[in-house]
Amino acid sequence: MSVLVLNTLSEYNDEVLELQNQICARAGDSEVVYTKDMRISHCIGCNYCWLKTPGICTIKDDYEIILKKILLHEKIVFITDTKFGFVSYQTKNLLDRILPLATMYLQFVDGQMRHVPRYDVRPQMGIIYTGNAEHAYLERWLERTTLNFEGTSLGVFSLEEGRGILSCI
Amino acid sequence: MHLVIINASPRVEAKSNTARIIRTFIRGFEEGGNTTEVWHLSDKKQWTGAKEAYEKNKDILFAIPLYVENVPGIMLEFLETLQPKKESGTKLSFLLQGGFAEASQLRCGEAYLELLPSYFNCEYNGTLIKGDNFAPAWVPEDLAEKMVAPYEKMGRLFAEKGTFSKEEVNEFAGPEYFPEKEIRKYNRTGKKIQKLLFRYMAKKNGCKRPLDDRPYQVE
Repeated sequence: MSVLVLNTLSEYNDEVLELQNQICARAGDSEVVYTKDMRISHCIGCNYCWLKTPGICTIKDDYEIILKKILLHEKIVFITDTKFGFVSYQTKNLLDRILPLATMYLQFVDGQMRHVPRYDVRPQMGIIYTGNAEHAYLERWLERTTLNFEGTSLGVFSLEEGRGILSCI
Repeated sequence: MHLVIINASPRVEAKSNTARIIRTFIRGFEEGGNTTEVWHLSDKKQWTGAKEAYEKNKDILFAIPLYVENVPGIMLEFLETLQPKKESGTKLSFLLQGGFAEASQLRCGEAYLELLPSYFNCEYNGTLIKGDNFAPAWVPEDLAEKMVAPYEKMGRLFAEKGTFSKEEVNEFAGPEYFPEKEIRKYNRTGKKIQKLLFRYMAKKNGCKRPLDDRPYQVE
């Protein structure tokens, strides 16, 4: 199983690094990206990735590196800070910018309108968070988010419970 | 009532569907003598003004486009600049709009907005949700205005009641899901027509590649 760890934390400690090592050891094929010092803008909602330059984001920053890596791995694990019970804006920006993986085209899936995925990848995503989260809400949000890309959720784990994700890797 | 409206869309104001909705909403809201001020987060220069308006006022409305099942990243970043209110009595109201038409598509975002005010020692004062708002930015001006026109009535209602009641919101938001009959109709004909429409929009936009292009495909 191949895993991409996207670490958006503003600072790291041994606990985080150890868990990350365990995830990578279990995955075999794995890659860790630290986004703290990367130049990643928020999505500006221009819809060009759907209607002008299909699949390509108009913002030329370091996000393209991440988008390409997401396509190379079966599982994506976000390690994130929390604010107001939710993931940090740094992590939300990574997911807002994922829209080029969908096309403008639409279809009904299980009775709800969805975008047709652009590629064959069906991302499985998990979240490990520091601080206090609205845990039940985060679970619901990740389920919905992955649904949009015909993917699945690996679950949401606090850093203390983070080892729980290993059984999903 | 004086209402501070913060447009949480990252899209520039001139092309922002949320901004258009706000303008329409305000027409109804200000009829009885109410006043408003609007701040756009897409313009970083307005962040200080928006922050001060939040600090000085007790009626705040965030108007938000749904981004990946919740508020856009830019709004979360702005929220980090705010402190919880020292005194109670501030009401946060929300207007959440999205592209997909079904009301059910906005429920996950709405659920977060119900939780958010408590982090700022504010009171939750309801969320007006509605989908089917993708098109206004892509169609001629008069049609775009027609599409958002129903928001004027909701502005009037908000002025009267001072809150968004669940009952009125649900009626405004329309069906939670499309009826099966509609889905069958869409699959039979609607989908094909829509594809042509999207291609037309893309071409007008100077798009030179197929809409399902795979620029990063690894062989």
